[in-house]
Amino acid sequence: MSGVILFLVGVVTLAGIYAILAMILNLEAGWAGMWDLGLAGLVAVGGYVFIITTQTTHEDVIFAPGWPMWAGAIAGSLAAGIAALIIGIPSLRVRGEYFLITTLAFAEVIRQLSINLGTITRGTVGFNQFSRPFEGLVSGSGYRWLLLALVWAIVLLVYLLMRRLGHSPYGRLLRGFRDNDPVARSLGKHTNRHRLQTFVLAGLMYGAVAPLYVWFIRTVTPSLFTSEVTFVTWTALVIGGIASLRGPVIGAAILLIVTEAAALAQGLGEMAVVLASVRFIVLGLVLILVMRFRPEGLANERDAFANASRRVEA
Amino acid sequence: MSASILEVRGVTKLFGGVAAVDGVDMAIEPGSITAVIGPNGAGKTSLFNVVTGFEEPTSGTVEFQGEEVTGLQPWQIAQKGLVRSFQTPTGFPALSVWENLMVGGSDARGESLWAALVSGWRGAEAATNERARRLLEDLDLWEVRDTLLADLSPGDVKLVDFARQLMVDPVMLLLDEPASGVDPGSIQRLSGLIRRVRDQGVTVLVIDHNIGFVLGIADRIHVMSLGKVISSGTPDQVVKDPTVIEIYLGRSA
Repeated sequence: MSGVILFLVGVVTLAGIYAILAMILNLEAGWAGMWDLGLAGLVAVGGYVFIITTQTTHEDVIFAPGWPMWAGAIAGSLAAGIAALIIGIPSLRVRGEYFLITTLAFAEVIRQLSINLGTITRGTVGFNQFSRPFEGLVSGSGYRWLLLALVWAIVLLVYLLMRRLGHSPYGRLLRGFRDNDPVARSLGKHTNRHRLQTFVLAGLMYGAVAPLYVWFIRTVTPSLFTSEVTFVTWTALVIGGIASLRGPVIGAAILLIVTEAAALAQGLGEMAVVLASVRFIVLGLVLILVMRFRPEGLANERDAFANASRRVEA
Repeated sequence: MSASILEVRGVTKLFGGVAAVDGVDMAIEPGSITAVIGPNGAGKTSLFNVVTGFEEPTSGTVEFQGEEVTGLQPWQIAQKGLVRSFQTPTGFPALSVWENLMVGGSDARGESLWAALVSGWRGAEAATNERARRLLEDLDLWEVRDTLLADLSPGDVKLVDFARQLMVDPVMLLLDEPASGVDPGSIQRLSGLIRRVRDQGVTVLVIDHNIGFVLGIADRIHVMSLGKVISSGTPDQVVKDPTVIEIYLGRSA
């Protein structure tokens, strides 16, 4: 029984991590209209920089400065922000599908680098011996609860930040030029600068979230950062309601709990192989049902930003 | 005659060898309503695109308030007070009527990421909100201020377009077919609005197909055909010009 509870704690923790990713994706894609298919690459940059800079033993790797965890997390965030800046400058000159392809290619380049730069990333073996924050405070299974609380506290923080951004004049401008860039420019808005700033902010945040993902999974290998991360995040956002406020959290919670429940059933019986594929059937089914009956998602932009004029008067 | 506010000198715009705009010279007097008319494909919108930085001219220069603006980005030209509209009813469909005006009226500082994250925006918003409220009440749009632009009738979207531009506090307005898609009854009202804006000191340059509307408001008219200005003058002069009658007004005159 306690095994089942611990499994569920893990599922809810992972849902929280995806909720954060989906909120960041909502900022750049839902509001600013930049359809990023490379977010897994930015998370990978953050995760790898964090784990490399906090390594203390030189066994197998040439670079192990042994920074404290907070410094590693900041370095990971900055590195992902810089990566976003570097891919943002050329790729934001093109729109739509070209942006999709550029970001998708970037994520794959990062993954290939993590496989091939073995002397600093340990290649496909990766890292699996590292400490996690506050590990001394609680023992064994207690740490799962601690990580759950930590992740959902950050979900709340990111939600409050996104709500502030969404209701600000900055957020309003993003939602405006997303649908009509020429009109925004004709009003004197430097839309490309706003896009680049937003993309870099998203990069910084993906990088900052990466350690949570690493602590949860307890290993860092190239296979953690495949495009599956990107597509699960996108699916969560679309189910929850793109460009809304609560949608990313609702979508991630429902998607992860529904799909991982299949994995729970899998652990119980002999039909493991059959049930492993059920996960994807369930995922597809949820997506189809939502698109059929609530094409704007479970939450939507219209309700999230209704009666904006009254917020100023109040 | 005072110095012109907008000076277009020898502007040519080629699209793969075809001259959409062909050596156009045009000087616009401050505080006037000037109209550019001409059949489809005459190069009116291409001229607008060059003047507002959306297209770079193949040759020629554009001066606004004595300063050359050729080659500047559209947002830079708009920040100098030269604000345009677009032919099709446009704007920000996912934003409410009120938000559409607020975007027009907010400056770069209030809309910055820094303001959103750190310094806040309440003060700037309150002042902009006052202007938006006055304008919306004036246009009888206050009641629909929280309606999304996507849910508004095309005629009202045109009005919001106009109001959004006024929120920028323009020195000069370039209106691309403001009367198209507006029902005949509202055209009178639109003409009145444009005249009032002119009386407040804003220079207006307007493109339209609706000859009645144009003759009613314009102080001066330039007629374009195949990329060239073929006639210029007051409405009276232009309608009597034989070349104009032949190639443009011929059907109705």
